[in-house]
Amino acid sequence: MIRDKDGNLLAVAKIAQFTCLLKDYGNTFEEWKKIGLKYGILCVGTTATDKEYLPIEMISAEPNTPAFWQSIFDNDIRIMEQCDLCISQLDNWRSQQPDSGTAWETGYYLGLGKPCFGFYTPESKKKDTEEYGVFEDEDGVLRDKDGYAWEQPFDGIFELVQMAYDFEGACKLAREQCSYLWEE
Amino acid sequence: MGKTIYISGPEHLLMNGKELYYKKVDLCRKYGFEVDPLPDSYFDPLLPKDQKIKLALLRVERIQNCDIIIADVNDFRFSVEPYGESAVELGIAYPLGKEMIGYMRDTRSCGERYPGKKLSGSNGRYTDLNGNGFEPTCLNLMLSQSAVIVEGDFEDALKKLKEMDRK
Repeated sequence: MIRDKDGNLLAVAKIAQFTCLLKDYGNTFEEWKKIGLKYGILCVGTTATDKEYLPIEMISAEPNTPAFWQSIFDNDIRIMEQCDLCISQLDNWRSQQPDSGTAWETGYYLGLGKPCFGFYTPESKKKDTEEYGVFEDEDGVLRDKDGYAWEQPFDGIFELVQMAYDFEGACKLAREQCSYLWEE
Repeated sequence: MGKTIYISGPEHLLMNGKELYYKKVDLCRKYGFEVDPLPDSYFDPLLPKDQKIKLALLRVERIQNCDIIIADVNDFRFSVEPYGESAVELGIAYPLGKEMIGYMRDTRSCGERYPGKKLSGSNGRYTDLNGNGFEPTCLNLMLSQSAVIVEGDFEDALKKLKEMDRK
């Protein structure tokens, strides 16, 4: 937790996201930061998307080298260690599942027993079944064309993440479920 | 007593998932490692919600109690992303200081492996046709930089572990 310039307590949330791979990502994260502040949450992102706390210019290693990639990872871990909770963007990314880096960061907080919240757009899940040849087997289990059980929208370990349908919904959930963080 | 391994991968989603999982358990023991196998509910795709949550908590606990996690990080569901739950489980293991090994058949970069149409940029990085990027490494940076990635299969990961233990 930290305090803003007016002395109000803010929870620090790691925003696990895949937006850094998107062609146009900058504005999305800035919008999320504004929304987070409405709920007393200071959002921090990943190196390059978070220009305030993790500008890419802080990496001194030569770009596109193993040292550069390790520095990005180290930076992200350094910021993750300081966060009170995690909010994960769990929309599908290039397949029927969330971005693996986002999933990894979600796991990081689950392992530490810190609160994890996620958000996804239901529309991104609806179109999946056709694309992946999903069928129902004789036991009534949905499977993809390779035979893997089809988990919709999430299953398994993601059951431990409290879900909302958008970023603001996740912030609201976080504020409600973790109200103890803001107690003086 | 040997170190304890947690086995992570999507095989439990298959109809013969239990059989595949226990083949890995047997391999671990052959190489002198211990495994605390997950219960039968892990292989049941029709588990009621309350039991799914209980199972998820058990999986976290097993990772907390293991020494090593070995994760199948092969491309899953026709993409260059591994199985999502394996990524989560690797993330759980990292801050707990566990040894982490991932194995995959093809360790070329995500962009090189992407089966869809793509473009090659001036810096050697690929983008898809929407201009969206790929990680420059074989996996998302959080995975590739946190785990030892072995080119091969589960047994190759075990062999690598033995080699690391000898050093």
